[in-house]
Amino acid sequence: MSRRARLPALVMASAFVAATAQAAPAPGDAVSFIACPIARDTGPETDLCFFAEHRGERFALLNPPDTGGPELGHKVLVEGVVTDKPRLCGGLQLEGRFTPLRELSPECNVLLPFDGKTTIAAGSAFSVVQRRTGLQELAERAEREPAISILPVTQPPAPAEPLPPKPYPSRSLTLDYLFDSDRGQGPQLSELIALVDYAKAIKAKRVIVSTRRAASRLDDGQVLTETEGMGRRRADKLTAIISGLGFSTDRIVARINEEPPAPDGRDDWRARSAVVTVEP
Amino acid sequence: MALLRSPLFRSATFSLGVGACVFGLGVGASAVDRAQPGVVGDVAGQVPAQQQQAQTAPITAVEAGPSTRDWASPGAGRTMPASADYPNETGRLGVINLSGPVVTKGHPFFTPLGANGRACVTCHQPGDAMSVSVQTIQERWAATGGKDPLFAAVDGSNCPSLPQGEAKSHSLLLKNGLFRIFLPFPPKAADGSAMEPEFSIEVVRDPTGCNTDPVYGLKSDNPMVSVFRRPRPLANVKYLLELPHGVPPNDKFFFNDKTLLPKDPETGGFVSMQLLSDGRQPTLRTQAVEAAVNHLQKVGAPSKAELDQIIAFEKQIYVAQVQDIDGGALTGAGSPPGLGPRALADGQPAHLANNAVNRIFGTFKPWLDEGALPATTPAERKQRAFRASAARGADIFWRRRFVIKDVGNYNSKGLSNPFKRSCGSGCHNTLLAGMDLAPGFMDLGLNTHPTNERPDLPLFKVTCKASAPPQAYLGRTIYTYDPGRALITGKCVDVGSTMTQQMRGLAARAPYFTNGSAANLRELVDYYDRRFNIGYSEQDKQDLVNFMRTL
Repeated sequence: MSRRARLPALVMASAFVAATAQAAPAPGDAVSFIACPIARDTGPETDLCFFAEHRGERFALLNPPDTGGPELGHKVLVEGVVTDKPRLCGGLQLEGRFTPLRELSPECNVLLPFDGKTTIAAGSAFSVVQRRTGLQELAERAEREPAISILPVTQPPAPAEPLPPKPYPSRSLTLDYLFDSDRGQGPQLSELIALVDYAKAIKAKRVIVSTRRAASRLDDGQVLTETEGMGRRRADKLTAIISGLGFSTDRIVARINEEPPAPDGRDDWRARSAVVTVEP
Repeated sequence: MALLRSPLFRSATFSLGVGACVFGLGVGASAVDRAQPGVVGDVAGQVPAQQQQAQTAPITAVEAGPSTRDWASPGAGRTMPASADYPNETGRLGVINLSGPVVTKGHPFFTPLGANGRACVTCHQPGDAMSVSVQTIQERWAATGGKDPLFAAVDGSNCPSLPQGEAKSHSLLLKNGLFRIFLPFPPKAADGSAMEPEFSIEVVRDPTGCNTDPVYGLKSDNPMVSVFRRPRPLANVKYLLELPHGVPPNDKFFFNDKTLLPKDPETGGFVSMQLLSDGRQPTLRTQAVEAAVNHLQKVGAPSKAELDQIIAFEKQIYVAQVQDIDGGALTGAGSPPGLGPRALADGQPAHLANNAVNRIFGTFKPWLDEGALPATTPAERKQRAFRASAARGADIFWRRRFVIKDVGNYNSKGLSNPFKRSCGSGCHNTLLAGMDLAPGFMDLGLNTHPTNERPDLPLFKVTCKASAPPQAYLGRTIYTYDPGRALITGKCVDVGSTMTQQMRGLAARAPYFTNGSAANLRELVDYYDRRFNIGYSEQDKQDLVNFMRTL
């Protein structure tokens, strides 16, 4: 199907009012479902926001930074526990994850127009710079002193933490993954870099990479199991990363569990994890 | 030859449009497997006819007729000044050699190194912002009767098998500034080993004839895919080479899939992948080796000394427009601080600039302030009108958001599909240079049918395996003019993706986009307006064009 045929359909928000009334999920309730993401315009100066609908309720689609965003043209697997945070994009906020599923779903193609009231904070998802304190003052100063406008405003990296005193402790990091994915999250990979630097600095005896394959139970009882070999894929990728960061491959131990734990429909996303442990 | 066994040469040749035999080199192995097809000397895989063709190309082109563009002739031996400017259709391009005047006589960048009479400078002309423009290409054809080494059969024609004396055999270069890039299929890994791609490829139509050619095509003894691409500007390279600052962990990780960035085969350091449109060569050094063998048809790699000299030259040259026929001088007191090559030479590379301070290329407010002053002459009024327009264009570029949707490898790398950004806050976010810092391979639709209509280019049908993750928005059956990065990675998700480019010296180097789809800046703006349904007004478009021609 050509891109032109798949221009987003702009529909009235009222078309998405729940057809059947159900009790709204309360904070602490778990949800797990697959649905189309719906995009919403939030005004001329800001980005779009996304939500998904399930059993008459809307759920905001939010992942941690640099984890994965919702995609029209693809369904999402939404897993999490309802929080008591304010609604975002008109949807309940979850503590959990959503995963854009890789197969194409061209019917997922709804972009709602700005309704005049649903807004989000301005700022680029990629850039942390815009949220930096003092940037507005610097922008105002650049108006008066144009030469400032071509100087970087990037903050220098934080200095490395000093090593703790001996005996060096073991350190661990847990990384979590979206469903059927071996793509790490940016902030967690920054922590991994620091962990590997620690391992190198203390000449660690070994680094243990423990990964697993997992499954998710949906609210309708369906169980989705990750692709066979996903534990191995995650381990191989982490091993390649750790050795590529300079830690000796022959001191990296991979422990892989390809047997998914029984999914409970509540914390299944947490099972999709890897633990990297530095043994001094 | 020891050099052929060196890690440098092995890594440089993994993705050459040459046969398989050179890739499996190991320490102590013979240089090439001479039983493989197309072995010529110590270089494998160039089909024999290519070498013969190279040797029939004239080393010295016949000069005739006036040109509007400066032409740096290989081997001419003139000294390149420390600072000079060159004419183009909308003004003048400034070129700075930071190391001082460059004596080109005997300099390997300016000297034919191979059998076909070309030097690096043939396709990376200073007056064309270190690329080569269609204007220059057409002038060289007219001046030399098509005999300049620029038109060498190997990649300066639509296919080496075509009659070389005819303009129609060079139509893609003459009309769109495109050179034939021939890459092995199936792709080869970095160590030269065979890869199992996630897709098959068929030729749907082939106006060039090269992909179906019995000697040069997909079903030849040396299976290759021929695609057609613009040479990227080989200037301001510190902005291409430097790893991203301030956006960890992207100084070590590829944003898209969170693998580690590739490494320099010599130093082991991470590299940015910003050099080539498909990211196939990690460093200037490996790119120079590949270019010498493929484009210059040199038998064997350049020497270390030659490579050192080439790279030193490339790292010190800066280009940007310095004068506009309507806007006047673009640098100096009262000018936007980001304009001109000196700003690039002094600037800090690899910083994210999509913020209210930087606005990617710095503020254009000096021109807005100037516009508030009364103009006393018609010439002054005209100049101020242009400058005000360019300033508005800069603001549109930085501020005007639009919905960016279905860009494979871009929306799908975690940014959401769609998302709403401006040109500058989205893909063109690098301070003073304007490419994607991330780095940004993406399928903008230019390489895919029917989003873009290019009846002059070969059209391929790519069919991905059912087990492979599909291309993010096109699925598993894709019609493409150029599989792009996928010809290097073998991955379905990469079909159609090519790397964003820097935006400096645009006025000197039309046409634009990797496949030359935009003949001028207006067509470039029109493509984006169409592709993303932006709704630019006529004034918006003119403002953007005027802004971009000052860069």
